[in-house]
Amino acid sequence: MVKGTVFNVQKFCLHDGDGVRTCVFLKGCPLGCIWCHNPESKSNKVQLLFNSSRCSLCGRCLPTCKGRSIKDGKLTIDRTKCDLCGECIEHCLNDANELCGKERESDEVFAEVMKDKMFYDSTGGGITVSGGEPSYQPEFTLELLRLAKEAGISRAIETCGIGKAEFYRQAAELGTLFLFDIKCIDPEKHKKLTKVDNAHILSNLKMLTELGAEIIIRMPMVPGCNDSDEDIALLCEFLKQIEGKYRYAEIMAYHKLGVGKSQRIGEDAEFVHENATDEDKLRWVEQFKKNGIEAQVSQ
Amino acid sequence: MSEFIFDPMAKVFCEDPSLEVAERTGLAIREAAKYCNISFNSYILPTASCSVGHGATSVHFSSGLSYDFGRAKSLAEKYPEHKEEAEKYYQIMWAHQLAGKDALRSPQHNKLNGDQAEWAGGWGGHSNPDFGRIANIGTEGIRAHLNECRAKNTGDDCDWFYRGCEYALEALEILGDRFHDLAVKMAEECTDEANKKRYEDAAKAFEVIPRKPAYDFTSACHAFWMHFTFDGIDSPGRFDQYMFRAYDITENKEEADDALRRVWEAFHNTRSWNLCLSGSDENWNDKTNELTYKILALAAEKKYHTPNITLRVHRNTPEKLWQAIADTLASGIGMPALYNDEIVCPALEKVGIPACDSHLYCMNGCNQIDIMGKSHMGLEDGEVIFAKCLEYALYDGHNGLGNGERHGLPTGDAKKFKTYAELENAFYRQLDYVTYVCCETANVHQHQRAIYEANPFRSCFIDGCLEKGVDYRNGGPLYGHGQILAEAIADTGDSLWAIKKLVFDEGKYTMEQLIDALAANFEGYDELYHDFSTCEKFGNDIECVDEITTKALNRFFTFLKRNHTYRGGVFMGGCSPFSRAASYGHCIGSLPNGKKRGEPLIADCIGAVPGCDENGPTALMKSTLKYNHIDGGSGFIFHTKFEKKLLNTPKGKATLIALAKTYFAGGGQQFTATVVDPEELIDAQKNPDKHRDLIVRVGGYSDIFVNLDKDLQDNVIARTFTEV
Repeated sequence: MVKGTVFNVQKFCLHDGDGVRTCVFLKGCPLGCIWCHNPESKSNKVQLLFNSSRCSLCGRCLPTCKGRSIKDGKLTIDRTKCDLCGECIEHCLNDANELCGKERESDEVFAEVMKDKMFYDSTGGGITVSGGEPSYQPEFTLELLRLAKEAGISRAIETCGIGKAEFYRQAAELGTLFLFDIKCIDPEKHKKLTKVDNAHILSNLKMLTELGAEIIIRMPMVPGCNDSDEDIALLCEFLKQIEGKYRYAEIMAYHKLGVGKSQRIGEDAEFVHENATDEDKLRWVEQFKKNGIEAQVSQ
Repeated sequence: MSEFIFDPMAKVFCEDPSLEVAERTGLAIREAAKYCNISFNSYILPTASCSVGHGATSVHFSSGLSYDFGRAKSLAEKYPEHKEEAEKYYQIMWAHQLAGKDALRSPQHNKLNGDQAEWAGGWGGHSNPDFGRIANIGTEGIRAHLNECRAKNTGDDCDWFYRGCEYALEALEILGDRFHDLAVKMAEECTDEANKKRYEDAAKAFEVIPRKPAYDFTSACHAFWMHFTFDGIDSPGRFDQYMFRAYDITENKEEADDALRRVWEAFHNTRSWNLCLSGSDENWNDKTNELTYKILALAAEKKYHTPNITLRVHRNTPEKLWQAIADTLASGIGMPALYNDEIVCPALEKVGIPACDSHLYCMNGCNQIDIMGKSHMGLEDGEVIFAKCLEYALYDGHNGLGNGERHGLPTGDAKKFKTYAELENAFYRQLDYVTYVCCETANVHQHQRAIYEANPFRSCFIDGCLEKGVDYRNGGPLYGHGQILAEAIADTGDSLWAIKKLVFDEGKYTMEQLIDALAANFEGYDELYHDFSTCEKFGNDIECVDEITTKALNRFFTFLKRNHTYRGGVFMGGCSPFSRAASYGHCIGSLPNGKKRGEPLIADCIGAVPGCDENGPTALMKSTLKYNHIDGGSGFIFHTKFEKKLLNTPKGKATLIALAKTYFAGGGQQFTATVVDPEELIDAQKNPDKHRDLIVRVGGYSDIFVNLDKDLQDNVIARTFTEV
């Protein structure tokens, strides 16, 4: 039995591996991508989410928390005084407060995943551990994958590739499908956009190809950040080195759903851009093709 | 039509009141055939009306012989020379119809029905006569069988019944002769070459049909359409099965396809109900044929909302057919609805229908189950509204809307209940009582109809009637089970769970507080409202609430089976709300699940309360699979909605089919997938003119979205939305 911090278990996912899947979202990610669309998953700690659009300023939560006050028709929260007791949630009639993340036991999480076993059996589906970043909670992730292997359901992880090589090796041994992100090839640029170096990420990916693991490459494309013709040319160059060793590569187009989520954890989004347009998507596919790589934009 | 006879159907019906109703009705049907309006519709198919223009009498599958008193008055004024006659018919019909209507309804029923706790036996209902019989054996074949049966039944006093049936068969022959003459005339007059040929074919067909079997698909279509329209337009049933003989022997398949397309257009312009495709025989052999595929392709191409297409699947359904199903669903018409033979057939066998016949089932009305050409299953005998029964339990038998009188049972002051068991028991007693009154009322109605609304016409097309010498209405059909539908199951289950959890398990509130809050429509009870409305809900694969919900339905099924129908069967339960289901919400006060007074929310068939299934379709399926689908033998409808983009990809299509197969493997009875765009629905409310083609599934059938009333539209938008 291993404990992990989980922020969501979502059933009936169709775009995260084969068949019908249940995604287990873990909290915590060491990367700091400026466009992150799951900002509530960055921290590996439990966090309070406050949705101001739901708040009616009734004041019922004020007595429960020293950090709360209503000023100028707005509820403000001094998060340094929030001890995540969750009492505000009990008292709110509008469900404006929510705790994001919960420490849970692997067996209990896995039991929830197994509720849909009949659908995995008929579609070749199973569990996808996502995040956050699964390699950031390696013991917990590997335990879930082990349980899944025992139960005979398909296993997958969505990863940015930053974990230890040993983690990936063990996951590969368990017959895991890797949905592996490549954000950018230029190391300087990668560091600027995600706050970490990519040498380790790319070496993990290469190791997995050498181990013969099942891999799907995912490339987040953010207009104006990592989608220049040069960026794409570099990506293609890299993909050619591992040609035939991954199933396919797909483009994940930027959307700005993360902006509102930032506000809920009391932060301002550092990057706001309009959603990727159809023209962007056409151009991307075209550029990949020009460089000899077939890549589709994921739905 | 040679001479003018004023109200010819009434004339023969009233001529000798000493004759039995079945015989007089047969005579009236024969007169209708002589004088009714006939025409070839724009698709050159023979369309017969079941009334006569200069008469107030008509005959219809649901109501039998009926008389329009208002029309009778205006006709008497229009034809003053027939005033005396008109008055005579008026009086006889008045006595006849008054006796047949309303006479024996119990005061208990009137009270419960007034509260919308139940609805029972209000109309004659549907059944599936064998619409292939004329095309396949002809009236001569039927008559030969009739005479054999009559010879065996000499000891019984039922000659009048056989005479009524003979007149009905003669009616078809008279119609056939009239259509022949009309076709000859139309062919002469027609200048369009293609249509001229079609009229000539019709004239040729009516030299053979309806007396002798159809010799090709076109002639079979003429026989079918004449029968179908003269009968009053009900459900075509297993069209691909009974029409296949004729299709198979047709050499010129182009001509056959032309006839099929014309029938399809004609279906669209009538309110034809359910058409059922494929299925298995009693040895589980697959019955899919060429017509099955042709019809699916036509449905996807034309995108008409009638008839409602249902398709039966089973262990031997070919992959090719599954593919065709996926393609048809992807066209966005919300059809076909899938039925699982592996559950429906055993369900029917459980009430005594042998496998050779259980495998002949098809759908009727708003998707209730019937045995084609062999049964009168009381569609629709009645409905029981679970949420109202819970209200009675909470208010000691009074209506939750607070209008005084006690219409339910006195089950005690719920404010004083000390345990959950007390409350549950009170609810069960109310449910039993309402169910009992519902069954009784259905039987009283059926008895009245047996006396006053004989139907010798259908008796010729449903097995058992001729064999026993007993009319269709009077228990003639081989199977006479009844069907009572359960409504608002999840609303009730959610409410029961919320009470159990918050009042009896956690003790956070008292029954007194809850009932006061309900009476106040939650006003001033914000916290209580929040707590009750956010309790676990049915449809999310959560054991505690699913268990209470399924237990309530099982109670209903068990009690129901102890009640016998007038027609000689037992009552079966099911859940397939009609289009009026959404209106029930208005008649129910506030409920412990957070439904406020007047809100239209009501569970979507066997699924969750709209908007309450938050964990996607797999969790919803898991919850509904906890019900006992084999006991829901009259139709147990499951809806799931998918956004259009799901079905645009091969993986999406494959997933949808896999979901259906998994649901069926898990014991599911029926599966409906509606494919829609959420924006499209919302836009359709604002700009109805732009979305006239938008078809959604409501209750058991499909309808044009913009034609629904606002409440129902909201209900469709709110219910299960699967975003992928």
